[in-house]
Amino acid sequence: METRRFLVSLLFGVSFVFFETWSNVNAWEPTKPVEFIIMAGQGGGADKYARLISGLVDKHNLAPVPMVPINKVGGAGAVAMDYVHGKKGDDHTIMITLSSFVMTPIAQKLPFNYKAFTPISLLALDNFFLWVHKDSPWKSVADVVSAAKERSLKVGGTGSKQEDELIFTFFEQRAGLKPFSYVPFKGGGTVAANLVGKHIEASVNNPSEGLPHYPSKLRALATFAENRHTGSKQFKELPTVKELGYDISYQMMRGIFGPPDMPKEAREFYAGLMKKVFDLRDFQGFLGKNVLDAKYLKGDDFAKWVEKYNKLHVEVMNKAGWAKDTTARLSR
Amino acid sequence: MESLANLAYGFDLAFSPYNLFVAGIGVLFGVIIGILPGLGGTSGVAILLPLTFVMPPSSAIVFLSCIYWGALFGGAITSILFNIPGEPWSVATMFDGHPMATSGRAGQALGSAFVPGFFSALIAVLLFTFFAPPLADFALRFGPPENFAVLLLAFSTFTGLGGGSPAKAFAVTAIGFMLATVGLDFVTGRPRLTFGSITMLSGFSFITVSIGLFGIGEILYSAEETLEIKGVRARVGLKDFTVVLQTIWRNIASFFTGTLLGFWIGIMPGTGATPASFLSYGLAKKLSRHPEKFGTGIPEGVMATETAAHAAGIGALLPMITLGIPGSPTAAVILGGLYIWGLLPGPQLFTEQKEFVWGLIASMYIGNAMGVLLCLFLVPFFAAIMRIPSPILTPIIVLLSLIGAYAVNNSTFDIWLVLIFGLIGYVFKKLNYPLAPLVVALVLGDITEEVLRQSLILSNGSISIFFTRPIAAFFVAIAVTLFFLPALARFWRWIEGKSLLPAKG
Repeated sequence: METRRFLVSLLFGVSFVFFETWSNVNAWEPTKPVEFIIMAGQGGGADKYARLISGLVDKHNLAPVPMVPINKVGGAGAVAMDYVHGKKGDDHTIMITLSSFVMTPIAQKLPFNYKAFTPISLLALDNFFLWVHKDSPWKSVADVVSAAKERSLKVGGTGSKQEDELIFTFFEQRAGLKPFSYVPFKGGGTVAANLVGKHIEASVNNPSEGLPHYPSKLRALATFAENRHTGSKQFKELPTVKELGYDISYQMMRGIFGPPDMPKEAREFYAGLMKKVFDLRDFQGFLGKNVLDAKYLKGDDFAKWVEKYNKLHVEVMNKAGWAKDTTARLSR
Repeated sequence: MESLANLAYGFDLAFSPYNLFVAGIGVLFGVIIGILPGLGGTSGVAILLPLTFVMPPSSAIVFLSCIYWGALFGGAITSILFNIPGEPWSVATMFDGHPMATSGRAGQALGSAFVPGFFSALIAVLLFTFFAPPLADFALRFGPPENFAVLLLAFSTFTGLGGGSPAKAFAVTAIGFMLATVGLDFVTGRPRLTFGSITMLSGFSFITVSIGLFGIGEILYSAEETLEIKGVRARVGLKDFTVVLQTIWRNIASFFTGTLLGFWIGIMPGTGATPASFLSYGLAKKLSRHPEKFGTGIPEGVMATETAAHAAGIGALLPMITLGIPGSPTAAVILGGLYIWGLLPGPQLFTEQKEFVWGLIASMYIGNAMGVLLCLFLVPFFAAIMRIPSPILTPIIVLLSLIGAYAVNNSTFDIWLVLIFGLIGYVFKKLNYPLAPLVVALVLGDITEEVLRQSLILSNGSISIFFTRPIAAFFVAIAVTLFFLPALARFWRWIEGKSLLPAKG
C-alpha cells in the first residue's frame, strides 16, 4: 500500500516538474494544427520535403499539434505566396519554399517580394549536376562548352524561367555560349527520362532525379555547387563547374518562411522545431542519400543569406531579360 | 521462370496478416476518397503518406498503392450516381453511367464499371509482372513529339462527341481550349488571360469545371423539368451481373483496346489515367457499330472508360518503380514516399529491394481483388441511394459538390467557380450545347499544347518532326485516318452508288 502511494506521488511530482520545465522553455506553442503551405503541387520537390517534415514531427512527437501540408498551386508559387502574404501576423501558418520564392516576384508583377515574409530557417541546399547521356561524345564540361560554342544545344529542365533555365542561362552568360534551345518540362523525373531517351542533349537535374539512371544510362560531368561533395560516396570525385574555370555556383534553397510580421515567439518556436527535425537521423539520412547539403540557418543569419541569394537572381535574370520591366517587350 | 518465383515470394509477403490488414484499410480509404468528389487519389495518397512512416517500406507501398486502387473503384460511384466526377478519370464514366442510373439501371452501371475495371487491372498487372523492365525501356522512346501524336489520336476520336449540331460542338470545344490557356503559360513563364489577378494564375481546374457543368448544371436542369419526386426504382440482382459479363463478351475487342491503351498511356510519363479514359471512350465510340447510342446510357460506354482508367493506374506505377518517373500525379506522390522511406527508384530496385518490388506487385493483385469485392458487395446499397427522394438527395449532392470543389486546390474561389459553371451548364443544356467536348478540350488541351510546343522547340519550329520520327508518324497516320473516316466513308458510298448506276441503265 505504502509503496503504491509513494509511486503515485512520485509520478505526480515528476510529471509536474517536467510540465513546469517544458512550459518554461517553450513560452509559446501552437494551440491548433499548423497550416504548412507548399508552394508547388503534390509529388514535387517541395511537397516531398513538407510531407517528410510533417511526418517526422508526428513520428518523433516534436510538436503538440500536427503540421498539415496544404498545396497551393499556381503562378510558379505566386498563389501560395499571395495566400501566406494575406495572413499578416498569423502564428499558425508556415510555408516551405524553393527558388521560385525569390524568382517569381522578380519575374512577375506581384504586390510583394521575399522581404515581406518572416524568415524562419534554412534546412538544406539542393544540388544541380550537369548530365549527359552515357552514349554522348561529351566526356567533360570542356566538351560541352566547345560544342555549345558551335551550335545551339537542345537542353531540358523543369519549368520555364525557373532554376533549371536560370542555371543554363547563367552558364551561357559566363562561358560565352550560343543560346541553348531550352525545352521546359513539368517535372524533374520527366526531364531525366527525356535525356535517357535522347530527346534532349543535356540537363541540370538534381542528383536524386538523375540517380535512377546513374551510372547505367547517364553521365554526370560536374556539379554547380560551390564545393565538391566530399561526403558522398558516388560523387566525391565530381568536379565543380567553378574549379573548371566558369564562375558559376548555384544551389536551391529549401527553407521555411512565415507570414509577414509573425510574432517573435512563434518564429522562435518554429525555428527550434525545424532544428529538431534537422538533427534527426532520418532527416540527415534523407539528405545524404539524395546528395543535398545540410545547412541550418535561422533568424538574421538566414535573412542575410536570402538577401544575397535574391541579389544573384536579380543579376542573372536582369541580364537574361526575364525581369518584369524588361520582358514586357522581349518575349522568347 | 524467375518472375514466377519472385511473384510467389511477393505473395508470401503480401499475405502476412499485417500486410493484408494494411491493404484492406488502404482499399477502404481509397474507395471513400474516390467517392468524395474533388478529393482525388492524389490528395488521398498525399494526406495519408505520413502514416506510412511507422511502417516498413514494403508495407507502406502496399498501403499507398491500395489507396490508389480503391480510389480507382470509388471514383466511378459518384460519377454514375450523382453526375459529379469523383475522380478526374471518371468524368467520361458519367457520359453513359449517369443516364443509366437515372433510368433505373444503377446496379448495372456500377457493375459495368467495377467488373471490367477489375479484369483490365488484372491483365495490366500480369503485363507488369512479366514485362516491366522492357516496357519501361520502350516508354523512354516516347518524347514530346510521340506524346503529341498520341494526344492527336485522342482528339481525332472525339470529333462528333456528344452528337447534335457540329457548329455547337465546335463552339464549346473552342471555349474548352480557351479555358485551358488561362494561368501561367508553361513555356514562356508568363501569365495568360489572368487580367492581373493572382487567383487566376492557377487557371481552371477541369475537376472544378466539370463538377459545375455536370453536377450543378444537371440539378438546376432537372429541378426545372420535373417537380414531382422521381424516385427511380433500382433493383439489383444477379441478372445485372450476367448482363455485365455479356457486355464484356460482346465488346471483347473494345475491352482489350481499352485495357492495352490505358496501360500504355499510363506508362508514358506525364499523362496518366485521365487522358487514357477519354481516349478509350472516344475510340470505343468510333469503332462501335452503333456510335449514336454512346452518351445515352449504354454499358459499353462505362466499360470503355473504366477499363482504360484501371489499366492506366497500374501502368503509371511501372515507370515510377523502374525509372523514377511518375506516370501520373498519384504515382508522383507515391514516388515522393519512396524517397522518404530511403529507397531510390530505378532498375536496381528489382535486384536490391526484391521484398519491396514483389510485395508491391503482389499487392496489386490482392488490392484490386479486395476493391472489386468490396464495391460489388456495396452495389445494392449504392443503388438504393437513387431511391432517396430528390428533395433530400439534391442538397446532399450540392454540398458534396462544393466540398469537392474546395478540396481540389484548397481555394474558396473554386466554390464560386463551381456555381458559375453550374449556371453555364444549365444554360448550355437548355440551348442544346454538348458539354462533353468542352471538358475534353479543357483536360487534353493543356497537355497537348505543352507537348506540341516542346516538340516545336526541339525541331526549331518545323512540324516535320511529327512525320520523320517513326513512332510519331505512325500515330499521326492513324489519327488523320480516323479524322477523315466519316468523309471517306461517305466518299466510298458515293463511289459505290456511281458504279451501280451504269448497271441499272
